[in-house]
Amino acid sequence: MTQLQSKDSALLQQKTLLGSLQTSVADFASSLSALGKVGSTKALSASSSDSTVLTATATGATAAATYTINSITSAATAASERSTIGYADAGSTPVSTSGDVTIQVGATTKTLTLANNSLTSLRDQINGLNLGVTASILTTANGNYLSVSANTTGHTTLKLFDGDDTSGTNLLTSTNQGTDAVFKLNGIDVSQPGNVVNSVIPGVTFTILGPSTNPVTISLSSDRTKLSSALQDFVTNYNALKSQVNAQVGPAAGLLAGDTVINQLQSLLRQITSFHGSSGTVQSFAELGVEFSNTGVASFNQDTFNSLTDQQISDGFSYVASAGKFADNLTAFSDPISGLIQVEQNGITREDQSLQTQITTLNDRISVMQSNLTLQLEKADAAEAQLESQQSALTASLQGLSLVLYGKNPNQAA
Amino acid sequence: MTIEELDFLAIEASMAGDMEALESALAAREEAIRSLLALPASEEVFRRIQGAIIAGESIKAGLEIFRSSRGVDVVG
Repeated sequence: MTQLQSKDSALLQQKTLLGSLQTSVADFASSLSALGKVGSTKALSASSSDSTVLTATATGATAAATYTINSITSAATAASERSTIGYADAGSTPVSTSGDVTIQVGATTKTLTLANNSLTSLRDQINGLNLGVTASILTTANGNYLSVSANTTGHTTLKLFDGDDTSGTNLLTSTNQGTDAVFKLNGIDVSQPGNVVNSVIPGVTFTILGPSTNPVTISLSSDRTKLSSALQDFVTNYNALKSQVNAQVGPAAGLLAGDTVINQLQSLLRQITSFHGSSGTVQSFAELGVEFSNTGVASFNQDTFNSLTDQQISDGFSYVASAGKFADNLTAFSDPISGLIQVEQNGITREDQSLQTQITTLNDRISVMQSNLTLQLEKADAAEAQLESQQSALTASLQGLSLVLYGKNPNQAA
Repeated sequence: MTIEELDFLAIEASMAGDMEALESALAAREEAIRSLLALPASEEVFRRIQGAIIAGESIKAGLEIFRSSRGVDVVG
């Protein structure tokens, strides 16, 4: 029983160690993947020369570039109108001469037969149409006004006609039918309903905040601090993983000593740290400031990194883009469903279940044995009591018989 | 059965740790003792009673051995 329990305990400790290892491998894979992405996108960052009228974000651009927004005629706004007159009572003052109104939003028209010829009913029925507009009632000292606003920006038609077609009186103002974002990019006229522009410049999303007659420049340039930061994360997560692997190797190795996963991880880590690029001025991690000690501990030398030329940084991006491909090899270990570590954990879980079954069976058997033995001992007690009684009766009779036959007690000397 | 036969069975049962057999042997022995003690006084009865007392001590010894060996198992 003790042996089974010890074996099970060791298995569960192995499982815990593997779980911790899985997390560290996943973290390292994630940092290596991020490093690779920094390399492949060259850590391009977008900036605007005037962030009060336009902001820009790099969303996958792969080359440094500059774009000019020559002018911004207008930022996109949502259409918003109100009723031309105020209504004394929102719940009872009639809004339509016939009880019907026709709303037009862009190219869509819908006729409403008001359930109750009032502002409240009109508001609720407009909102029930899901036409992309929201109606509400504005209450002022001059009466109640219907407000209708488009839910999205862009120029449109927003009208509300009295009657069942578009020939009646427009009950709404015509002061704000919304505007499109209108601007000129590198001399080309662009107009679109929204202010977020993500389909004009590949890999760049910019947002128009307001009009401008002055040119605004969007610049895409490499940000070397992103590379430095990604290398730092790489070092941190490498050391966390390496220390776990080292704890399972050598004379003081833990419960995963000799485990296939540990051996294969050791080999993979060696491949990563010694990865050599095939071209350019940077072909190793050391040239980017990542140093590995004799014990395998990594450190990041910021001074080395800071001294790199622009060409070396550019080549460094290419190098880490290639090195980042090792992330897939790491994921083959850490994948929570099909990873090698998970597969091993599943095996341990099965073995643990089998041991638990054996322990339970054994416990049940011991329990039955204990009950039987307790019963046997109780019977022994009863037998002894009965025997004592028989012995007493026999001894008393023997004494009496001795007196009758020999005139003395059996214990008396002759 | 005679007291001697029953003594033999009881000793055998106690030495083997067979409490069920001992229980039934002692119950039968109870009756055999009553019969023995009802016999007229004689030297033979005297010897048989002596023999039964000695046999009783052997049964006790068997019970002690059983209890010490099984008792450890139960505690452990």
